[in-house]
Amino acid sequence: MNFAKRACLYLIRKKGKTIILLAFLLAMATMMLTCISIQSATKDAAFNVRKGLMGSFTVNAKHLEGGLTEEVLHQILSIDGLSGNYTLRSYTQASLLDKLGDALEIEIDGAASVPEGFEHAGKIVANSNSEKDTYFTEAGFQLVEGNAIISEEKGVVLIHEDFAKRNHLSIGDTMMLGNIEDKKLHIEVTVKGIFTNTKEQDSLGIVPSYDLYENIVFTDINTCSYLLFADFGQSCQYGDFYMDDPEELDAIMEIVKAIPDVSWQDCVITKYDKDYQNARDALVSLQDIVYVAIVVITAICFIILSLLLIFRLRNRVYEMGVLLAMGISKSAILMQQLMEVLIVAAFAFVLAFVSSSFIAQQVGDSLLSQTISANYETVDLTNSKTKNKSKEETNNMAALAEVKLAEIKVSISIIDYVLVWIAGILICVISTTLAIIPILRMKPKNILTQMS
Amino acid sequence: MSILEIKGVGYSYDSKRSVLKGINAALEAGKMYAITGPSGCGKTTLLSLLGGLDSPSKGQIQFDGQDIEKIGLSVHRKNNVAFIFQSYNLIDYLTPRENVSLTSKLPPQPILERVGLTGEECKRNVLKLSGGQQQRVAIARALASDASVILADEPTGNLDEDTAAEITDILKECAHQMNKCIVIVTHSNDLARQADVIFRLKKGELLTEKK
Repeated sequence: MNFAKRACLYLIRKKGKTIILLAFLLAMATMMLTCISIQSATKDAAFNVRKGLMGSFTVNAKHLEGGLTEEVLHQILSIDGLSGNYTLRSYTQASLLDKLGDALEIEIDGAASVPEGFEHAGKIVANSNSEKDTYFTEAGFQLVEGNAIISEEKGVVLIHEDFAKRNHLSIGDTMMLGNIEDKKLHIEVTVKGIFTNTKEQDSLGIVPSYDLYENIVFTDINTCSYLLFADFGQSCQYGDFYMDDPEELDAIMEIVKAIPDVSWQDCVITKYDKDYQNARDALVSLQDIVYVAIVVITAICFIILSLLLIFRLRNRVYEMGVLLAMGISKSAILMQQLMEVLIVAAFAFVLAFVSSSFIAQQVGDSLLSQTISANYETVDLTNSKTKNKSKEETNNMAALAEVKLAEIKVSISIIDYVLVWIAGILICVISTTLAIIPILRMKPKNILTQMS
Repeated sequence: MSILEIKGVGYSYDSKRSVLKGINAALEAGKMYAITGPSGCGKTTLLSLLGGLDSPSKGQIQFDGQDIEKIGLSVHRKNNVAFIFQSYNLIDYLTPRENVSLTSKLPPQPILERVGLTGEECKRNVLKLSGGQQQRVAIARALASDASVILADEPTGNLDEDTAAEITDILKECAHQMNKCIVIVTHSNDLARQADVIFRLKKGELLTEKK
């Protein structure tokens, strides 16, 4: 009778002991598989967060007359790793004139006094995409008529509905924007859209008239470039550049800093990745916890399995003595013990796939959603406390919400399952060998004496 | 011609307490030998040495003229000798037939029937058999290994008189009809008297009492 048959007969005839071993190995495999699956899911979640929470940097002029030239802009956009998602911004004031050059009527109620020359001025906000401007994304501005201004447009404006009513302007009408200091510098623009504000303006009474919501005019980068630099083009004061992978932010910022055409005495580069770092830190912490759990569970399982097998084998010393007395080799006895444990382990690992699938999803969902939610709240609070919220923060909030809402599947992958099989088999083999070695090192006579 | 030869065998525990002192003996096939002596005199130790369960401190044991150490103790146990223990030592999760099949070189069923077990008894769990029946299974297991030498340690020690007599008859039959060399360690004078040769182990020396 070979060792395989003996092993099978033992497992069949000693049902109680087989079930105890099966239950333990099932628990061990389930815990290991659950932890490994959660760890894989946190890796995926971390990847999603990286993709969702785009880091960004902003290059902006220190002075009103400085800024990013079109040439510099092209050099920055040619750097690998930028998502292609960027926003150009400029801010200035300009006289609001009709097409004949006469001053248009602006809102002055509730405004602080303004310096000479600014009596008919409005704030000019240029954006490569007006929809993404913080006035629209956070301050409650809404288009009521017409369309948003998009990149590459020239000579178009969005005006407030009060300003439009007051001056009888509608979509398609023309008006002029004039440089405050250089009266000869002006540009004709067409009304492309009319907006309104859904939230009341703060700080009324202390803001100058050109900063009142009613007097704000959105225009394109080219028009603003002409007003600021007397030159049509994409030159601007602020450039926000978004990353494919926030991990590369520092490296790309170094490349930008090395662009020779930028005067860093007049420009500043600022990094925006706080939200990503917060999310990343939370997920890294979770990964660390799960990693420690895997190590601890493996170690505990190894110790308990060894003890279980020692007790199990202690009761079978007589059997080994008899087999040795009959000339059956020590290796055959070891193989029988290994086969018994491995057969039970194989059943346990198959069952563990089912149990882990259920448990991993429950535990993983709970852990991950807690981590993401906590982080989401942190970002939300940060943003609500900041009045001048940047576009990056807004995008990050939305992206994080997406990560939260998208169900993070804690599923058992084939790789995780194979990993548990390998780890489980190694634990079984090492535990069994360690448990049986002291017995097999004894002389058969000593074993038989112990039996007596 | 002797099948098993004991040549100047000595054995001591922890290099201090000597239990066997230069023992010499020659054991032949077709005979039943009994080794008697007081408790602790080294009877079981001598049996263990003959069966290759342990090695002598000095001297050597030869099987068919070859030192069993050179043959290999595990090989010697597997091919040349078989054990019968006082407490039977059957594997408790196997049936009698499976116990006999463990190292069987012969078909188990005829041997089990020869030692007096029925077909139904052969399918039961060994723990559900009586002591006598369990010892018969142990004898069948020894016979099935086709070993030339059968070493029995108090084979009737746990049995009643009638059963012990039956087991003794089976062992005698093994020796005389199957040409086995049977070596029995026993306290029982009745069993020893049935042997062809009686050795008495006293103060580490082996004395022949009956030939």
